[in-house]
Amino acid sequence: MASAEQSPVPLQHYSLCSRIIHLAKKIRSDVASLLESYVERQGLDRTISLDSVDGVPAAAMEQEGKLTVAERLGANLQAYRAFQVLLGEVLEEQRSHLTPLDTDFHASIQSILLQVVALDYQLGELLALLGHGRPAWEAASPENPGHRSLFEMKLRGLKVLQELAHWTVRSVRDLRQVAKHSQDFGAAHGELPERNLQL
Amino acid sequence: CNYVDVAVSGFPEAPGNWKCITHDLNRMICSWDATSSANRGLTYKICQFRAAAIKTPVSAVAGNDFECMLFFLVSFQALIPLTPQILNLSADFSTYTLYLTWNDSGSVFQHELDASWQIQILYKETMETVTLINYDSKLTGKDSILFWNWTSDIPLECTSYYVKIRCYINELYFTGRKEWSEWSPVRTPNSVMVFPQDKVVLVGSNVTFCCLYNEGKSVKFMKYGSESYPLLRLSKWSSAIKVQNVSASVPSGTNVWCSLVPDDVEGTVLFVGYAPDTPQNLNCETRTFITITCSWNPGRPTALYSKRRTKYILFESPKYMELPLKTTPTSKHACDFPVHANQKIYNFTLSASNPLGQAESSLLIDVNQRVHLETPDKFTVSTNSSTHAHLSWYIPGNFIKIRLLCQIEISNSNSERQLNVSMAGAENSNYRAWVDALHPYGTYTFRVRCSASEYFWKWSKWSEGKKLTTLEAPPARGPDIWRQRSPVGETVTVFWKPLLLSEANGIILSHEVVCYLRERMLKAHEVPVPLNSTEIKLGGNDCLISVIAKNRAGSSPPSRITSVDLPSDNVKTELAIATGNGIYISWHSDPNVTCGYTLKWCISSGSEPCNVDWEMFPSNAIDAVIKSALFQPGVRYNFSLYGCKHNGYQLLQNITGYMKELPPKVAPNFTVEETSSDSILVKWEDIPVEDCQGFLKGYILYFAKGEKGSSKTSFMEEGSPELTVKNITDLTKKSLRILGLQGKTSYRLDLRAYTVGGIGPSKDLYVVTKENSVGLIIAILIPVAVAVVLGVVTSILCYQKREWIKETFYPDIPNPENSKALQFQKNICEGNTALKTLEMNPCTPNSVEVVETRSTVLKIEDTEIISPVADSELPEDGSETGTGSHVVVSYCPPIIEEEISSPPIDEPVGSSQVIYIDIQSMYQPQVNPEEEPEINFVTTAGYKPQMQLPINAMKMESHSPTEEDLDKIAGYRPQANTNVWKLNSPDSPVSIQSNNENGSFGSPCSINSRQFLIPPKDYEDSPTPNNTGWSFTHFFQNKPND
Repeated sequence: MASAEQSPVPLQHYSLCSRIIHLAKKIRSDVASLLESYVERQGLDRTISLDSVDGVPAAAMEQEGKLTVAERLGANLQAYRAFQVLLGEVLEEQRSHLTPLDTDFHASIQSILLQVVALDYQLGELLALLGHGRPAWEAASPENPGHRSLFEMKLRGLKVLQELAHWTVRSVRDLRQVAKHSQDFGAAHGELPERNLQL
Repeated sequence: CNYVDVAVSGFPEAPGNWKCITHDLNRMICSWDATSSANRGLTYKICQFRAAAIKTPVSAVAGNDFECMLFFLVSFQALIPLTPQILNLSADFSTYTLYLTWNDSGSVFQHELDASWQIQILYKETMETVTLINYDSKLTGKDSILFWNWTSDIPLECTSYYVKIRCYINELYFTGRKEWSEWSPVRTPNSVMVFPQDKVVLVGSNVTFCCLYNEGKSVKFMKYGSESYPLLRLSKWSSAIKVQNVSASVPSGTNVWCSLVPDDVEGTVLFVGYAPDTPQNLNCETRTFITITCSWNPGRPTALYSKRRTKYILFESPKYMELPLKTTPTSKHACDFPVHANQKIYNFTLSASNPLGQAESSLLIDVNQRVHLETPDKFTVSTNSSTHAHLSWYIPGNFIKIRLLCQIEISNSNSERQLNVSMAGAENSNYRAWVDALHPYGTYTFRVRCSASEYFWKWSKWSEGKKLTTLEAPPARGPDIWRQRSPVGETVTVFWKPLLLSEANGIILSHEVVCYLRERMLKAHEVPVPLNSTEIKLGGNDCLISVIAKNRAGSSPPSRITSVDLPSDNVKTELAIATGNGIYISWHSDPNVTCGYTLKWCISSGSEPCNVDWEMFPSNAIDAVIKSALFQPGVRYNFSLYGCKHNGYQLLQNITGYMKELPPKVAPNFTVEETSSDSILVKWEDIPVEDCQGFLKGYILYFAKGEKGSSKTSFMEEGSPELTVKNITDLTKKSLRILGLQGKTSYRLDLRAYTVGGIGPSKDLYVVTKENSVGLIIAILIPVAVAVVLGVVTSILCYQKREWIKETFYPDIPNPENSKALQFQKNICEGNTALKTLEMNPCTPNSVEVVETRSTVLKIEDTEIISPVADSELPEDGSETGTGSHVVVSYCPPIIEEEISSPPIDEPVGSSQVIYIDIQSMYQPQVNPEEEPEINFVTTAGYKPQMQLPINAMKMESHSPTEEDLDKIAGYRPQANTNVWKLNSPDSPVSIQSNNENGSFGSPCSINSRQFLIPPKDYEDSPTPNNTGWSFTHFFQNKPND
């Protein structure tokens, strides 16, 4: 971990962090729009309780402050990998069961899925730059969605999108810390000009 | 060895019920029964001897005397896995299936192991075993989630189900006993459910939804869509809502959810739609004779999608061949069915079904009568002739058994025709056809479509269009020609018209003009395009002119015309009739005309020489309507009519006409030649022909009274009541005399020309008639005569009254008693009681004693002008006589006394006598002489006419300029408001006695006093004619008093 915090290329860290933050913000914006159309198309209420839906990575953490940079980024990476699987399931459920003719809606989900893939890749890049290497892809638990009712599918899709939105917020916060650290480090070693971070 | 300290008293006994178990093959847990309760304070030491493997020595050491007892106990070792925990147990009620997930806790062991699981399904309240299933898995050293499902024979809703699970680890190298784990706690499926699950119902149905939930929970609300419904309590753990007349749902279905307390939600989705409609417009046809394509319209949408959508199956009886159909999201559905070699008749049945019902449509067809060919492809067009073209196209399919009918469309810019071609069918072949009767050098567009010939069903779509231009051919005919001889006859100009495209058969390159004299060619001219005329020198001989048009393919037949012009005399010019889009010309038939008439005209455009044009008519024609795109409205065209006789052409008639007549472009120029007191002679000029724009029909002259510079609008717009209109239809007339006018009156004239096309613009002018001199003379003489008579009478009267006039106006010695002014004042005071403001009763005339008389140089002109009577008749500012030398000698104290209620104490009340010591005495009562030494220079002046008062006052004013001082020295004060007068007479004195600033304005005495005591200088300087009139009036008014 110490080696990660003494990266020799803070400028690259900073630049990569900026890109990841922008991508996370973009995802959040798109997910917000998608949530609106999702709720409308599924006939749901945004206030509905989703506590009964499990299997979706939760963004909230109690002891977040004790995490190291690598742990933060690793948690982000694992979450977005899980979201790739979950979004794929949501997309397939919409195509097959719920909104088979709504191709525009499917395209919106597909777009977010692709952005999550890109975010996953960039987070892996950042971890590699920090000297940790890309963590192995942990095979997701083989779920058996065959018995899931349509109502559960709807709730699950809603929760996936909501949590994805929360994760993007958390990612922006985490990445700012990483970027700030890189800036401080770069300024101390004269590798990064002093400037105001507008991330 | 491990030590276990146990307080044992007494002699130790061998531990009983000794056994050791392990859950993870890593740690052993041993247990034994302690010895009797009397042996406290014992310490157990447990040692494991690998060699014996099955015996473990145990020593017991007494606490106090350190007595040690060693027991060898046979070990009871066992491998008992941890009790597994069910992660989730859910039920799919639609398939009667239970889904179980649990964690294999593989991470407990360090290496791979074989594990067996025993899952027990129990049901009913009595928990009877339904089934006991063994399930094997491999532990990988990591935790894994395992799945398992079980399908019930009866619906899961029928009773309660319970599941428990236990584990067995088959470790081959473990020498101890291997036992099943404990059973996991019994788990029931998640029973919080909403029913029915994912059901499909018809629109308009009434549906009841129930919510089952576990003990300890309660229902907060149940919603259908976004609307809450009243809860129907079914049992302690179930509630329901009833929804009536449900409407069609969205594609994702309508949600029904049950909100529970504590916070939990369960729900279901209801799909509401329609049963499939009967397939409409079922149509089966073949395009290639390889497959039959059936298509239909699904009819009313079902509002159901995905698994719930309508499924179509096509049967072909009697074989009952079932085909899965390709369904499309579009409104049109279709599928292909193979054509069988020896089958012509096909009986199709189309079945549509969805979860809410099914419908059918049937169709019986003869495939030979249902041929709808594909669009012809690879369409090509070619030609090597001026009238023929070859066409080729390709149609996919096997049509060997039928004939084809193909339609070829041939179109050019102004025509279109179809040509049907029947041909034998072939298999995936090219088809050919050729078309004739095309026009040389014509550009055509070809396209083709085909169908079955014997049984027409449908045309195929048109192929793409192909363009083709045929080859050129010689011109079809010679050009239309005309000739025109020069005035002297030395040359003749030959004109010809370009051939139409349909006649030229190509691009005309040149024209050959040949002159023949008795079959002998005199001259030949080759004239290239675009020239359309040439000049030939005749050389004194007439000849026969021949013109030939040439293109790349050859020459046209010749067109011939003779150059002979027959003499003509007395040729008249007639007028043609405009028809709006042409010119109608008629002529008298000439029996000598044997080869037709030719009407020739020339159209000029700008400065270029005119283009000769002509038209030929047969011999029996007597009229024609000439039309040309070059004709313009309002332009005059001249035509010449020639008759073709056996020996030449003769000019028969000239015609002038318009295509459309318009109003004249300009107004005629006109002038007024003569004017008198009652008439005007108007003359005008002709309008130029180019400005007439039609045949002139006449002029309209409008005239009425009107001043120059007044309104410029036309007469018609003004609607003048005195407007006179004269219509001049005699075009030879160029002047008009207008009679009956008034003398010395301005008239406005307006002249316009008009044609059949309307009235042209106007041009107007103004003229003033002369004055009537006799009346003027009379009007001058009468006033002069009257004036002379009046002057004579006045002179006579003045002569007769000269003494009185002298006495009155010019006495030698002014005598106040004789003053008319005083008399007048007395008369006023005595007699005019009607003047309420005066109220001068009683009024005793004051006696005035003149102490000193001034020289007669000081002339009092007219005391009458201060008369109150006169004053009442005068304007306030009109009191000047022009001399400004007035003296007021009347004084009327009672007036002042009555006006002023509290006179000054030092003033003698009711004084009836005023003594004029001198003019200064008027001011003395008000001013102390000792206090005012400045004014003493006048005290010795004796009598002074009050004429000088203003002068003195002005002098004093120069010494004491303040207004207050001026008031004090002002002497007599008029009783009018001085402020009002101030503008007109700033020097006006104010009454000292009254000190009343608001004196009576209407008092004639006051006004007269103001007027004449201190006359304003302005009026002195500018006497007005009114003063003169005033003087004359009073002159006569006072005359009776004499």
